[in-house]
Amino acid sequence: MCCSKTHIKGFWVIFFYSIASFISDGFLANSGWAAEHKFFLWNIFTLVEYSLLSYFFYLTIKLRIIRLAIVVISIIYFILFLSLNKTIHDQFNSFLSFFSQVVILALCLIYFISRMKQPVEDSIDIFNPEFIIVIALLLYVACTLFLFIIANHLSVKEMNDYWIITNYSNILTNILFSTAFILYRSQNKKPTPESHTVDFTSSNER
Amino acid sequence: MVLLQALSPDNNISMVLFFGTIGMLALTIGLIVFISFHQRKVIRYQQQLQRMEQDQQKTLLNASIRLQEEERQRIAADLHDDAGPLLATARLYLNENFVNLDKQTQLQSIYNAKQIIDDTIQLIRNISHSLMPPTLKNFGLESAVNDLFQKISGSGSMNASSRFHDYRERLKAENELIIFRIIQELINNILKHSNASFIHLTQNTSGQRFFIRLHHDGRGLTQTDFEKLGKSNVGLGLKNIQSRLKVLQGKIFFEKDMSQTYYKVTIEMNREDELKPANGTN
Repeated sequence: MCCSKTHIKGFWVIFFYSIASFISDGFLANSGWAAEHKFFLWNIFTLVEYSLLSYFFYLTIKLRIIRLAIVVISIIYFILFLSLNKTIHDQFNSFLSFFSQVVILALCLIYFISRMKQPVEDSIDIFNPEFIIVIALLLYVACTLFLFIIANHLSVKEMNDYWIITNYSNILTNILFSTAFILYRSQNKKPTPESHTVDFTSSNER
Repeated sequence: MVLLQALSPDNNISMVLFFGTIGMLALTIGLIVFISFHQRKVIRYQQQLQRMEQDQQKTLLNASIRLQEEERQRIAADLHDDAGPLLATARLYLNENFVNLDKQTQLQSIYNAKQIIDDTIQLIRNISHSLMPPTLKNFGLESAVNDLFQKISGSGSMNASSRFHDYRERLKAENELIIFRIIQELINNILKHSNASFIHLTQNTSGQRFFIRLHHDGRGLTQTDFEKLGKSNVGLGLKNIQSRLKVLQGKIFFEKDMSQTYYKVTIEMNREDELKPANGTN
């Protein structure tokens, strides 16, 4: 549905993110190998998640300085990830997750601020698919931020108990993503009234 | 179960997790609600602006159509009431030649018919000049305005003067006509409503901006009055000024000071595109 060319930049990135999230969760739940190597999979997913979401914001936010900041922070993130790869199999990397969550949170806020600062004629409704996607990401980050911060201090049992927060926030995020996709689809199906009318009062007609 | 475990007093980390997550969620929901209300407000404001603009466009369009109809009716009335009877009378005089064979009477009736046809020609010239003043066409805005002001002064009821400070190169003919019509409309309003004893017009330029200022000592309008009348159903002439200024992308300001009332008409245009060598041909 979303692989076709869309008007909203980065829509397909969110689509791939949803697929990646689904595959990761499915694999962890159903595979014995995945259960044994869950820390490795979680860390890899954190990297994939950060890459896709930061790329989504790179495509969505038009401010050049923010785009540059995304590139610089991503480079730092990848360097950190490579330098911390020794512990990738043994434990969930709380620091990298926290880092990525804070960056995504900041990008969500920047997106909202840039939207609010836009001229009146360019303002978008809250039922705009892009807007809903950012709300979904913000809610996801808000739900999981503290869990990721203290993940390293939790026992395996506590981790398993509290991981349910991530599952619920994933469900909420996916519901909002689906809403955004459906809204996008329905908004693009409807012919706009402008396409059927001629503005006789336009100054070009003078 | 997760909630109970988190709230147990011996589990500090769980408490941090619980309250941290709840706090973050509350903040996020608050932010989303705030942004939603803000966006809604902005969109409502935008829709209101669009509606107002559409209403304004509609009013101006109606005014311009009404004005055009009034102009047509005036020309039709002039032709029907003045030129029609004159030509009919001339025809009667000429017809008399077929009936009356007396040479002297024939000459007299031909002479009368000629007089009437001359009057008709003059009348049609006047109608034509009211549509497009020949002075404006041939000699430009400055001459046309001076001519108009001389005629007003000549009537003896009002002292009218004009001065063009920087009009070495003429504007485009269509823009000169629009400015002239605006001046005519303003003068007409002053004559009809202000009870003024003098009118003074000055022209200036400042960079790319072209200014026309009209001063008079009668009762005038303020900018608020002008805007109010522009939106109401009355004030056809003012709406006409607005629609003409829209074509020029100009602005008009009505101001009033303690000692006198004066109009200040500001017309902005790109003079680099606008200016063309002065000549009579258009």
